Amino acid sequence: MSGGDLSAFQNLSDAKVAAYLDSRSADLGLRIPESCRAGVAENLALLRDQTALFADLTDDDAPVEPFTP
Amino acid sequence: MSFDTAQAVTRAVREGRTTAREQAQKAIAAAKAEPFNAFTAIFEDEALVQADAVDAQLAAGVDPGPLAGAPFAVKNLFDVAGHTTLAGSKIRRDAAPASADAAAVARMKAAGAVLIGALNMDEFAYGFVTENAHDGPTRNPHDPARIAGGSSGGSAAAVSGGILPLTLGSDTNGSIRIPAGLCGVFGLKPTLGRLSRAGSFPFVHSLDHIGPFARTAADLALAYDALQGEDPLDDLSPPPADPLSARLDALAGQPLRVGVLDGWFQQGAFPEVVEALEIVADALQARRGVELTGAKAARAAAFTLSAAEGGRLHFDDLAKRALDYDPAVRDRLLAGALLPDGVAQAARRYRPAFRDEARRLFEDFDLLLAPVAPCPAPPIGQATMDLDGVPVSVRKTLGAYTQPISYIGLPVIAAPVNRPGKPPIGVQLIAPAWREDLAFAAALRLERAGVIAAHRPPIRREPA
Repeated sequence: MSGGDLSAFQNLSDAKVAAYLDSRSADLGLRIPESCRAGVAENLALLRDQTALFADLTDDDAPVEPFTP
Repeated sequence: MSFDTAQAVTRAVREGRTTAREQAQKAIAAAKAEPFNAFTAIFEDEALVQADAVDAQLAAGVDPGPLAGAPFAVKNLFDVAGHTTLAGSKIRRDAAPASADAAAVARMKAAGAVLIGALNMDEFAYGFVTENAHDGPTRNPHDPARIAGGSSGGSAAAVSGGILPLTLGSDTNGSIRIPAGLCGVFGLKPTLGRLSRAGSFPFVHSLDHIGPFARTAADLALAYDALQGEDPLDDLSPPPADPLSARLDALAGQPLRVGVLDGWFQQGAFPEVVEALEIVADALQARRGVELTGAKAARAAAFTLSAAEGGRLHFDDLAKRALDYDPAVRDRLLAGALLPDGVAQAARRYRPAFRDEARRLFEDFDLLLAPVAPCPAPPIGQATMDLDGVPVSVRKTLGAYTQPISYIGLPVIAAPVNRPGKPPIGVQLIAPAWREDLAFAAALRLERAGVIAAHRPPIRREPA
C-alpha cells in the first residue's frame, strides 16, 4: 500500500482518470465495486484539482517535520 | 426541554434545590422525546447510577467537581465503557464494546458531569451535514427541514434544542464549528494537541481535535477546563492546563487587536453571512481587509490530506466491506485510498509554510474573525449549493472557511451571532496557537454586549 507517482497523478487528463483508478486499485489490491466507480473517479478528479493548488508550493525533497501549531 | 445553563444546573444541585438524579431524569426524558434525531443511544441506567453517586458525594460533604450534576452527551465516536463505539458507521455495529471511557468522557465525569447518551454524526466524521445513511439525518432545531451541520451534528442539535447544556464533538476540518454555527450555539475547537483525543475514533490523525458545545461562553469555559490535562495516551502530549473559568471577568475586559479575514474567507459568502460578520467586527472595532496568504492552498491541502489519511485508515475495511459504508463517505475514502503517497506528503509539507503566514498576522492581531460557513443551514437532502455562481457540493464545501484554520491547529470559538428570529449564523473567533484565552475574551465580551447569543429555537410540535 505505497508508492504512486505524484506528478503523473497531477498530470492526469479527465479521460485518463478511470484508467488510473483501474491500475492503482490493481497495484494496491483494492477492488473498487462497479457501483462505486463513477463516484470514486469523480472524487479522484477533484482531488487531482485540489492537489494542484498546493503540491508545487514546497520543495519535493524537503523533509516533513513533525508539525507543531 | 430545558435551556438552563450547566452553571445554573450545577449551582442548583450544590445548593440542594434539585438533585443530580432529577437533572439526569429530565435530560433522559428529553433525549427520549427529542424530535431532531440527535441521539443514537441513551445510557439511562448508567446515568442514574452516576447521578446518584454525585448526590451521595454532596450528602457526604465531598465536592463532586465543577460540573456537579450537569448532564452531557457525546458524539458517538467517543469510547464509552461497555458500549460499542459506532463512529456513525454500520461496519462497527458488531465491534466489541469499549473497555474504558475516552479520556474526554472520563474527565467530564470526574468533574461531576453525568453522561446521558451518544449522538449522531456523519459516518467516520467525514462530512459537514450529518445526513447519516444508517441513522438518518439530524434536524436543525431552528428549522427541522434543514441540516444541523456536521460532522458533530447531533452534538450541536442536542444543545441547541435544549436537551442538555453540554456535549462533546470532534473537529478535523470544521466538524465542531460548522454545526455550532448552523445550529446557533457555541463550539470550541482548541489548539491541536490541547485536549486529549485518546479513546476517540480517529479520522485524520494529523488534523483531529476534540472539543465542547454549549449555549454560553461561560459553560464552554467550564467544559474546556474540565477537559484539560496531560495524557500520555495521546501522542500530541497536551501541555499543562490553562484553566479559564475563574478569570472570566478579567478576560471579558481585556483589550484586543482584531482583524477580519478577507479574500478566501469571504469568497462566495451569502450576503447575510457578511452582514453578520460585520456586526461582530463593528463590536470589536476590528480592522477590515486582512489577508491570510495561502488560505486557498491550505484548504486544498487539508481536503486532500483528509482523503489520503482517511483512505489509508479504512483501507482494510474498504477492501472487505466497501458496500457497507455510507455511499457519500465510501466513494471519498476509496478515492483517498488510491492517491499516490506523495499527495499526503506534499500536504504535510505545506503546513509549516502556511502556519508561518498566520504567525506573521498574529504579530499585529490578537484575534482574527471569519465566517463559520458561506451560508446558513441548507435544506436536508440538498446536494449542491451555489457558491459565487458555481454549483458545488454542500457536503464538501461547507467547511471552506474552517479547513485552513484547523489545518494549522489554531484555536477557534464558533460563536452564534445574535439574530433573533433569523436562521443561525456563526462567526469564527480565531486565536494564536495555545491562546484559547483570547478567543474566550472575545466571546465573553461579545456575549455581554449582546452581539452573540444562543437563541432558543422556535417551538414546533412536529418536525417538517
